[in-house]
Amino acid sequence: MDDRLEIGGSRLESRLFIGTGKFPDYRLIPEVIKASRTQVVTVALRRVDFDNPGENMMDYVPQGVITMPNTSGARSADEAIRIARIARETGCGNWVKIEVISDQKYLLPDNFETIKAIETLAREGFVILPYMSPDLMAARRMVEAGAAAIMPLGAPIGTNRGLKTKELVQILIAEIDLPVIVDAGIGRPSEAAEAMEMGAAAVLVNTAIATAEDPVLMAEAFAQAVEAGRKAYLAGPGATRHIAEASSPLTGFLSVDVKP
Amino acid sequence: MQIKVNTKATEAPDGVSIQQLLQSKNLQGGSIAVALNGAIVHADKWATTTLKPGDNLELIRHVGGG
Repeated sequence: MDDRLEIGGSRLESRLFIGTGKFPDYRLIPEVIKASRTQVVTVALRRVDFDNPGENMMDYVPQGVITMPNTSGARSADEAIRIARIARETGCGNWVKIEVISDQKYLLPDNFETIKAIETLAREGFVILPYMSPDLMAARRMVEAGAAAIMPLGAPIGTNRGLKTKELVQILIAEIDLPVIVDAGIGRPSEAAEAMEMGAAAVLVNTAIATAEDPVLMAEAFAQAVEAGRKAYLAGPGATRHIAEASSPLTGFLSVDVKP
Repeated sequence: MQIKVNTKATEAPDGVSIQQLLQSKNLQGGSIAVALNGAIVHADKWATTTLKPGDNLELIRHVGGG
């Protein structure tokens, strides 16, 4: 059975996307990519310090991995649109993660501005994966506007708190026909497995891997968790009950008669 | 002449092209996007676009991000 994830004309074997932020050393990035078996990584766009250019992170991203720039820094649709157009100029393809955030405390995304950005960028041929606050009406608008997937947060960025928005994400999975990719807040492989068991199409993980004591080992753990969760979803888990139901037969018991 | 690079005042030779300026800092194309006075300049125009005093150049590239 072909269970590859289809987005933007690509068929992906891996349902684990990785963010490249917060790594203590760029040298970890290719090892994490290999251990996680990811095929999609996010990157950010920033001004080059002309006097001190430093290393080029892209030297550490292997060929063949889809690079998805985010529009981090954008506080409005216009800023996100500008960043996306600039991102395309850097020659890494036409995928873009729209991230419009003006809340600096929780880094919660602005769904309204995100919808507006999608409307413009979809007309320009971008493959758009919007980071959003899980709200069904907003998600529907994003689908109508031309998104290629929907990326609701599990918990605020960098908090490692897991699927705090679980029930709202479950509603999106049930009602939205596009891939629903849980992005932000996943802190443990078990939480990634939980998202996949619910029917998420993929997960995007950054902080949980980058800030682990052993990021490469953690990346491997996440890869296994995402695979396990997906298989569990496809296998169709059994019903939950409150009252016990024995696992062993209720007849033919061996009984010992004890005579006083 | 005085130009701005990423909003910072910088000295640059008169009539320098974008390509020459990037090369002077060992910055390669392929991983950098350039905007001149707010407008994106495609890489194929870097060699032929010369800078004027007061121009504002933005050099942008990928960094790690989630």
